[in-house]
Amino acid sequence: MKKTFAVDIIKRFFMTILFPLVIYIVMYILAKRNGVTYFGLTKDMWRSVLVNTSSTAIAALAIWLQVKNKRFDFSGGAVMVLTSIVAGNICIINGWGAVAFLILCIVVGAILCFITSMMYIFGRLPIMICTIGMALLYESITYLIFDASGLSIMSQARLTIFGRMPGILYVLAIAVIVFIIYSYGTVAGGRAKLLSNNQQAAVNIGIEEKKNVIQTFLVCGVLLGCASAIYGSNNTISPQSGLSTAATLFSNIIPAYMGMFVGAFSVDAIGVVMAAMGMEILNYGLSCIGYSAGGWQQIIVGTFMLVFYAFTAQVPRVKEARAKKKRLAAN
Amino acid sequence: MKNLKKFAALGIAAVMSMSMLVGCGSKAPENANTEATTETAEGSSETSGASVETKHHKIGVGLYQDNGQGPKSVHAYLDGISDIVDVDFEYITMSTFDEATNLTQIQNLIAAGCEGIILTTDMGTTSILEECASAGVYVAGYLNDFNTSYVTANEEVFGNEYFLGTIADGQIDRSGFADAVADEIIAGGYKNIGILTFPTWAYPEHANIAARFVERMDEYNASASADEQITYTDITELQFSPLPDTYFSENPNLDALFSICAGSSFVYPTMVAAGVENDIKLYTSGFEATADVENFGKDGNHCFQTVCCSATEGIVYPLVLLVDKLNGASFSDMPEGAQRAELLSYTLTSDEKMDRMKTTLTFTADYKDAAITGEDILSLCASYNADATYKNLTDTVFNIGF
Repeated sequence: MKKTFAVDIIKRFFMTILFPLVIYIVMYILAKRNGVTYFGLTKDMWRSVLVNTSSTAIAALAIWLQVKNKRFDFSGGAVMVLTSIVAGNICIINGWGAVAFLILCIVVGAILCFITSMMYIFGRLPIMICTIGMALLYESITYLIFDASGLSIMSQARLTIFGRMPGILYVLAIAVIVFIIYSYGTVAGGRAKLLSNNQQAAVNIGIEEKKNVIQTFLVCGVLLGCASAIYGSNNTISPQSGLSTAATLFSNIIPAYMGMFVGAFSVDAIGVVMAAMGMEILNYGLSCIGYSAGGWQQIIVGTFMLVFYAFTAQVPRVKEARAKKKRLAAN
Repeated sequence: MKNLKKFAALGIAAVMSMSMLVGCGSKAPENANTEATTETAEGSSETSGASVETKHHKIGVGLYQDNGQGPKSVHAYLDGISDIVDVDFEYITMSTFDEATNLTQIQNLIAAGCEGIILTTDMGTTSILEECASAGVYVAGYLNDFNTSYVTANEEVFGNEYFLGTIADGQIDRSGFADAVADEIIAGGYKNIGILTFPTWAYPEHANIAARFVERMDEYNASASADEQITYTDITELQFSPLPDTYFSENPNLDALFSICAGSSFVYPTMVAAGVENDIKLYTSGFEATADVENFGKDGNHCFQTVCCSATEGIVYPLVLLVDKLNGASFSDMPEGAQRAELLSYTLTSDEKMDRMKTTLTFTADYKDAAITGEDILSLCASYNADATYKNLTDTVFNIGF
């Protein structure tokens, strides 16, 4: 019994890290063939990969939380930008440090998402219309506050601990734990799953949908707050307009979908992190062999993504075919 | 049914009454506007004690961004001079890559009644000029040498009677910037230098600046001993995206970077992410007045050692050309055809220069710090000052920098 359990754990662990591991091996071979010596186990490489993995994974978790509940939140990027600007400037004015910045980001992010959920519930709007409207509203606020100066705290080391190693890993851990506890450890998470599987049936058995929407948005706000702390620490943020913030969040969407398959042997949150790590290793490797920006990187990443989705889309069919074969054999 | 008819009749009566009122009212503002226009068509300002009769104009200003230090100081300056020079300004944000967007923005300005347009972009200038020519609107450039237009569409742009000329972002020949940085790097004793530019197809001048810098390094190496030699990397072109994460792994021993590509935005964030901002000095063009000021010279982490930008007041050049053209006046020494004037850049290589910079309009975005006031502009216009000359205009604008 114990042996089977241990084998199962090892198998699950191996299958979960398989995706980034395969990419690492392929890129390692390509890099070495191109005479690149710094791809492998160098400190610089892993610092870069882990920092990018953390920021991408947290944003992807925020996207995934809404997507798995059958909602697509276009205001997430605007929440990130506005949260960073508000929290960062308050910290500068009051001379507060990095911990206060992180806490403030989480609080502001949660408040903004709460407001969005209120608009969604009481406005009785389709989710797309509601979140696009809120995104435009939040973007316009970035021009009205702090003299439209945005935020620039990159150089203030005391404020940006959570945008760098190793502080960024703590933020990632917070986000993953919050996601897992909400999705798998709370009644609200379970109800959210029921609602996303069959909304009418869930409502019929007495689940209050509005309350659940608010709860999900609040957790999403916490995740976006974590993402904001990293985003504000690593970027100069300007006021935004015309839904430009959508790109800020949705540039991290690839691991959100990949995570579903990569995490098939663990949980989706771990899958999202592993998918983000795999993509960052791929990006770093491409950069090493001279495809750091421009068309070729986009083509390679885009093609890779399509092949991945096309392949994983066949998995349920293969499973079904196998099950059918088994049933026929049994008969 | 009876009630319904009554309500319908009441509704129609209300709508008709409202439309009559609206119809009556619509003429009043029109008349008021006419009167207002008559009143403000000729304003008056005092220049050097003498009263100057000014003519009212509306000019569009197309900038690359709608926020940040540059636009902020331009807005502050134009707001400050607006009443004095009797010009209303209308702003648009131009695209760096989308010709259609720029053309639409220009059409919006023309529709808004702008008689002249000041542009910071030469993306789509040919089609923009066609549009402006058909509407009788004049165009002049600001902080742009129109190099792409100059090389690929010179006749269409510089030969077009509706294009009045441009003032470059600094000097047309910017080898002086390369010389200034080379001197600083040699004096600082730095031995391993990285060189970064924007793509040559977009900024042909960047390749010339880099080439001049390399030339200066080679000259130094020719006379330096073996242990004093300076090595430099191949030129890395940034495709309008941040410096790649791998750059510092590829070039592990750098101790200075010469960035001709807005280092504060495109290079410094990668340096911070790689944790090298305390070890590598940055000599860069561009000025954001954020991290580049906090960490300049002996301040902060000492990363920024040289920054470079142009004076906001450079906008006076295209403004004077437009105002004179709209007033039907011209300088006695006006050259034939559209010109590319130039500015002496603010090239900040020391803490003293940075302190001086902090008192300029470009930094403070406060009109009271302007080197050229609204009254000065009137005296630079041929239409308001019979003694004004083109040479005086270009000299005045050129000499703002240091």
